[in-house]
Amino acid sequence: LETNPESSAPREDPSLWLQRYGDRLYAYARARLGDEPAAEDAVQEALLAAWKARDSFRGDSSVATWLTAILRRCVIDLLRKRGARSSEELQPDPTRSMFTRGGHWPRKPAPWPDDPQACLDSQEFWACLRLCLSRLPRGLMETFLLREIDQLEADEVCKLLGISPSNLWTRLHRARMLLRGCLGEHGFDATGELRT
Amino acid sequence: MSVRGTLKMIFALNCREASELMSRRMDEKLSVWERAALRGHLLVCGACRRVKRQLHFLREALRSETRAGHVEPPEQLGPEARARIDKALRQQSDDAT
Repeated sequence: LETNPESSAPREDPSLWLQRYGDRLYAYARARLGDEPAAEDAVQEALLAAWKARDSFRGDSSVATWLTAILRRCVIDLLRKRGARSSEELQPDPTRSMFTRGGHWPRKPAPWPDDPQACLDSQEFWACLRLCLSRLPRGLMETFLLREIDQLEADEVCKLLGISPSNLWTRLHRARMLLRGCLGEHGFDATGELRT
Repeated sequence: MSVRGTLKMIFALNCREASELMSRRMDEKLSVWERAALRGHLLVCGACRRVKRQLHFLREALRSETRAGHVEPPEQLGPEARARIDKALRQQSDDAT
């Protein structure tokens, strides 16, 4: 069995991957696929694929990163096979209440910290971002994650989700504005400290 | 778009429309008129300049190397699914040996 979980893949027992990383992998798949059975299938496929490809693990990334990269491909394959599932129909616009009737900001949005690097290094920032992401409606979240975390091109996301470009722009606009608003509300004042 | 429509867009863009253009610009190239309208709006609107910086910061953060671990909402694999996957893994690793 492995001695250092971050530098070598366990070669004899893939069940260890499931024990250690199962929940993380499942959370990744669930956020993108929505329903539980599909996310479970994706995790299973990814772990089986990882076991088959275990000799390709070079140790230059952590096991978790390596497994997530394999899962990412499985999720994309599943989305592709599933075909158009997302509805073009959108929920009422959550950004409407952010603006006045004339479409302007009711007041100037509060500034965020001047030092982005300090933010990126702070646990509180990531905790707050996680919280805000979890509050996004699912349809917005899956679209946003595919585009911003998985860094798929916009037209690829449209194809995978079976939505039109204008629907994609609307979803991404809503997701970004909701996240921005949530971070402002829950986390950031000018010093970057998390308000409780 | 008609000339009138274009001019109207450039001079009458509100913050909401500007935020839509800012966001769309992160996903595709805007037309020359849309870019002009957005640039004009940002020139006079400090609030939207601030929001634009925040949206870009969000993208940078999410794509940065410092994004430690996962940002997805935590989930737990159910015991049945866990057992099923474990069985499939054991079967495969047994077959290999």
